[in-house]
Amino acid sequence: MNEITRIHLAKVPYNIEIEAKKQLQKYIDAISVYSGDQELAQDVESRMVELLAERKIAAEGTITLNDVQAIQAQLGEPEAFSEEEVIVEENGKPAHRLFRDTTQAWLGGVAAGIGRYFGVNPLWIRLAFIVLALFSFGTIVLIYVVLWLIIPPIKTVADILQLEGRATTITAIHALNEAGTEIPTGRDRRIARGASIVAGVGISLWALGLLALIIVVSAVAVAHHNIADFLPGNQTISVLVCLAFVVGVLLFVLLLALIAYFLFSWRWTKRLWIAGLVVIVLGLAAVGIVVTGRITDNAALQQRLDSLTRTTTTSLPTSFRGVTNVSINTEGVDQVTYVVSNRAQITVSALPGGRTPKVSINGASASIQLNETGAAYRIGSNSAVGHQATVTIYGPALQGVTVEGGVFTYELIDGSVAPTFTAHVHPGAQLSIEGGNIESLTAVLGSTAAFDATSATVHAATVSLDTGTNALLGNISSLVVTAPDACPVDGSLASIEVGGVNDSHVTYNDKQIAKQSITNACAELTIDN
Amino acid sequence: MTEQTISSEQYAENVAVQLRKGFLVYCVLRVCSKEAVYTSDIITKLRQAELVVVEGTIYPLLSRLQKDGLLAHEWQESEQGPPRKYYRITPYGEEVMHHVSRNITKLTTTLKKL
Repeated sequence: MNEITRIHLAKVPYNIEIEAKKQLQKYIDAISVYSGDQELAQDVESRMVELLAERKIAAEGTITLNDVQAIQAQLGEPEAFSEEEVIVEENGKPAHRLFRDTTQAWLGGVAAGIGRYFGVNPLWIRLAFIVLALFSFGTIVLIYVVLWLIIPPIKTVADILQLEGRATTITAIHALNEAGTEIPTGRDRRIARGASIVAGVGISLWALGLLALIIVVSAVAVAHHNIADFLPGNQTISVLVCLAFVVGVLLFVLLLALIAYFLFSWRWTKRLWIAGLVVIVLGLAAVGIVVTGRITDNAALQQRLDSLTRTTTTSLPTSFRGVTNVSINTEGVDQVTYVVSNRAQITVSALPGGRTPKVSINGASASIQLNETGAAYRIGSNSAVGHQATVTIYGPALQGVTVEGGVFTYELIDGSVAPTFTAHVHPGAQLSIEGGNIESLTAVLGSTAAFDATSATVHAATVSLDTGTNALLGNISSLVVTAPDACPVDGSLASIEVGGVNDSHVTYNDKQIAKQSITNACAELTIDN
Repeated sequence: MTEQTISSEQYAENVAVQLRKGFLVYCVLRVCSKEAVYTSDIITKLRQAELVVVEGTIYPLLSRLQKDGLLAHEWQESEQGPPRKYYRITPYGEEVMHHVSRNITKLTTTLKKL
């Protein structure tokens, strides 16, 4: 008993022995090549149906090898279907057409077809599709489905030759047939149909979700009158941008709807093309408005903030000149610098409405509180934009600084020498020391504090670390490090990185050890050279 | 110098193929001039008239005659199977047929005189 498969002749379904199918397919392919005429090939198929009927084989009947041979005998050699002696090339150049290569397909054969068309390994095309799929949030999947639908599949061996841009010669066809090239039929179309319905459902859901989301967001925004808050620079531009954004999203939903409609209806009409094109053009216009609107608005906002920023300089009392230790909290201010100088003053550059810095002097110690020096710039009902404040303090050289919070920079005069300097950095705070020479530096750092003295020249450094601390030093002569004994649960190491140490030894947790980088469970000491 | 690479029968057959090509066009036009006919009917009629034709050669011929405007086709429902294409001669085809007819007469006259 021979194996049976399926075949359609002029849209009439038959069962057919596999061997018979191979021969019949080969015969039909050869006829279509020799005649070079699709319509003629269809006529021949219709004729085959009649010849089969004469042999008492109706639709759903089974075609045997004998039947195929009888048909061939009746119709004649494929060469007979040619008007001229030789066929094949169109205008001297072999046709080069894109088909879906269903013989090597993973899904619809789009990548395989593109690969074969350009003579590239399809794996590269697939890789490109996968990478793009990750970066395009699924848009490429959509494109894949559309390509699947608009690119025709390989139907005959001659199509394979056209896909590769090779001349459709009888020899080439025979070679492919002998190589046992099987062209899947029917099944491919059913899978494509099923996949397109699944994709259609997915895209419809996507569109509906997006529609619901934009309606809810718009409703909330309108209800709270805070459209302007999204873009505080310019009211008119804000409203325009918001409208363009909503319109853009709606157009995208419309585009998805068109695609979903197409996936369900399976018909790609001219009207659909035009509608899609119009939607895409309008959508791009909306995107353009949103982008240029945003840029214009940002510029307008920046200009407004710049024009509102005021710089005020306040003289500090003369007693400040005797201060050697400063304790400071800089939270809420962008940039705070202490500059060693002959003057004693404080310069604040900020938006109006902020608080004035509080400076209290107690003998040789001073406390500076800068909390909320930069005002929040408000437009509309709530949102705050930018604490655009910078504070510069001018005062005497210090022996010690305590950073209670925020980010602080201590700037020495270049070339000046400080015998000792003690830095206390509270948990989470940051301190940078720049310029000058420090003979003996002591830094006590709280957990997750950051300390940077790479821009200063330090001789002897004594650094106490805590969990998550990050300390940076340049080239120094001697180093004493105290690392925490208790290890953090979250694994954030205390770390210190030193440009170089002159001594052959360093002191690590009260022990003299040879100069080396150390990493243990709790801390990390890196000596670059 | 001549070389006889093929047999005399083969050579004669090749000449006959050339002769038949033009003659076949005339025969097909004649068959189609009486009534609209179906492809296999054309073949049957030609065979009855003792003109040996392979069915395959008729298809491209019909296709060409149609493209050249000598024949037109119409679809007719068939009792079993898909609808069939019926071919009928066009006025232009009819003119061509009469001219060819005259040419053939001239040719036979020539033959008789030789």
